[in-house]
Amino acid sequence: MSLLNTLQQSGFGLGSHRGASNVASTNLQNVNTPGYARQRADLEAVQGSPFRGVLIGGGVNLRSVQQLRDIFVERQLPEARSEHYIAQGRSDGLASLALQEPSSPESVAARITSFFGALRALSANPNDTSVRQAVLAESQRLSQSIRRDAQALNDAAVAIDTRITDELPRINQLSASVVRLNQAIREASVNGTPNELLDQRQRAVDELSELVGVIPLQNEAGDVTLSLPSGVSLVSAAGSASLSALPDPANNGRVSIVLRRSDGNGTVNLSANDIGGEIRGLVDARDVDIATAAAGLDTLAFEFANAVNAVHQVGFAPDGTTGRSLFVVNAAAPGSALAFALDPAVANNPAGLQAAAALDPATGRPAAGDGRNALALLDVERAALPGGATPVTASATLVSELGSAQQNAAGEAEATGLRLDRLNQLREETSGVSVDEEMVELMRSQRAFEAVSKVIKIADEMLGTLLNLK
Amino acid sequence: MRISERQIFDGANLRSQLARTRMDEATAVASSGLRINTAADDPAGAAFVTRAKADETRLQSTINTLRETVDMVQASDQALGDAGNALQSIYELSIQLGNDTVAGAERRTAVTQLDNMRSLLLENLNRQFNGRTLFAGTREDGPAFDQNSVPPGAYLGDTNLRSVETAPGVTQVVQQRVDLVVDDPTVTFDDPNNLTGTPPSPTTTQVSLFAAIENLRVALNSNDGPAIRALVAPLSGYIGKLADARAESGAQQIALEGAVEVSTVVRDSTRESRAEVEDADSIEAFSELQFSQRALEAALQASAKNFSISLLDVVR
Repeated sequence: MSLLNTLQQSGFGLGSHRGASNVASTNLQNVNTPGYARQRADLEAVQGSPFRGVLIGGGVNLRSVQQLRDIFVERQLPEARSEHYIAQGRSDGLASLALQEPSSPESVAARITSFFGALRALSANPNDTSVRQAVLAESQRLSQSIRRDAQALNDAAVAIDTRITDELPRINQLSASVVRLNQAIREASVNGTPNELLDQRQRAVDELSELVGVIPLQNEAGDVTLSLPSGVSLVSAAGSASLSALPDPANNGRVSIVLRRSDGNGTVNLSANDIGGEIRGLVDARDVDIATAAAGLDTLAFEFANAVNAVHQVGFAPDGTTGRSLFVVNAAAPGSALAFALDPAVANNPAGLQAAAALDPATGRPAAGDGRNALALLDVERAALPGGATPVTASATLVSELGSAQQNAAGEAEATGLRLDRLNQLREETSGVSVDEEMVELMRSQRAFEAVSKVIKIADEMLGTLLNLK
Repeated sequence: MRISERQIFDGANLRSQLARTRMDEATAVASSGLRINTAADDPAGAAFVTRAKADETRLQSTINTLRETVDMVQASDQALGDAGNALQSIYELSIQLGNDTVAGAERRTAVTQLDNMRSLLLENLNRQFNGRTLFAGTREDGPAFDQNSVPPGAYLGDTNLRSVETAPGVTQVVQQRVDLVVDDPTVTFDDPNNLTGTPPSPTTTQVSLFAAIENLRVALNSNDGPAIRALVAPLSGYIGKLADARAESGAQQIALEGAVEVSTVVRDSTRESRAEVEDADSIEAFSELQFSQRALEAALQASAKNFSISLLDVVR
């Protein structure tokens, strides 16, 4: 082995250690880059060459730069991420929902009770205009309270629709980017492992897991294909499918998600069970929790109005009028909460209240002190509606069920979040960048670089000594 | 275990967020004084609170209505008492003028006095409370008895009686059928001007209060001593009937006051039960607030210390 060989090896060595220091430097620069997996310079000793019957090492070579990823953790992450974001989506969808709280005097239950309180006063003093006015005022406040809660439920559903609609272009963009990155990675792999492209693809897959719960699968060529939880393909070798939102007449015009296949071969109407991630959670919040609460409120409004009207209609107003309803709702329960209002014939007419039970034969009008129908109306307060509960209990149950759904969703989001956090921690333990560690790597490379530089200097001096021999 | 830079910062974020959330929750509880601020805090508790608040409101409205009704029944009691006093005067007048020593002129002069007493009696029986006639049944917007009928005292009310709800599903009558009180089938008199049988004897006839008074007036005008004396008994009978009505009114008042008391006790008990579920223990709430504040300070300080220990600061 010649000194010139030593100089040449040392040159390679310097390059290898500079490469290792570059890797540490890249790691440090990407310490805050989301989705970045730390890299390691893979140094190897170069096969030696024979020198006077013995093999002497050939120095060091930078064989490759590897990403550090824990495959076991990576395989668990998509499912855990989808599971967490289903719960988080549901929790988010419900968090914005603000019905009147139980302690609020404007809650439906409180307003129902105040309405009957005013009727109680009317039953004892039916000829007092101010008492009649108070009944109308309480009826208005009850109507407003029911409509306000119905509007809040509707607004929450509309907000979810908007959010779903806003998320779909992002999903389509990410799906298309996975297709592009598959191709870019395939092409770049000829020259080594394209770690940065792999990071970008992984990041896109992670985000798609969060949004729609995709399940990734890597084929032999290194391409990643993505399918939805039900098996419907989102990204395949043929390309990416696209998602769009369309109003669904069968679901009160709420948006449904339609997938157009990547091969252009038709569309698929996706149900909640087809998808995962945040979108699934939002759909569940909208179509299960909010829809149940809205249906419950509609039923309460419908049954309550009809129960009150049935009694009110048989009573008599001071002028002898009978047969009028007190409240107006739809012909069937759906939409009744939003339509709940005072009958226009009564709304601004205290004398329209039919508080009397009978006409006075002497006058053809009810007696001024006849409040017996108002007294009969009080029975509605404690009688079970067709749904099986009294109005106040039905209202309290609604609030409680929705609160329970919010609590469950938040609890589920927290529990699944803990699992996801744990897996993310494990991913970070393997793939995260540690400044301390990279500083040590940098110093180690620097020291090696200095040592090899010394070797070059010494080899150079030895060559100089030889060349100066006279 | 390997710790990456992201873990250090994310961990610090997470810990301070948790501490801040806890402090925020503690602040909400301490500032509102409520353990349940939203239904999601305790769904079952929220349902209980909703029902309990509804019960409290219902009981309060029942109490308010009953209190007003008690006032009305008290006014009825007063009116019946005053009517009894007026009738007592008429009764005393009939005794005084039934005596045969009283001259006819004196009896005729007393008719005016009797008319005034009858007017006073009618005024008392037509008395109103807050603009509502007390004894006209549900025809409360007009007088119960006609001052101008012939004879005066024709009943103008109806046969309905006011009721109020004293408890869920329980109602109580809070009025008197004064038309029946002043026309009682058991009150009779022996009419000396209507003799039947052998030997002839006065016919026992049912007489209403106002018919008795009118008969008294006629007897005074006609200086008919026996007829005057015959009317003493029915007048006395109606004094008793008015006293009975007053006693009935008192019983109604007692029942209503009892209902108010029961409703008040139930309301307070409901309020107490609700408070146990809904209200926060103030000492516990402020302890938690203090503790969560300390926990947040500790989390921030620990994170700050963790950030400051790095090779970057050591290697220069």
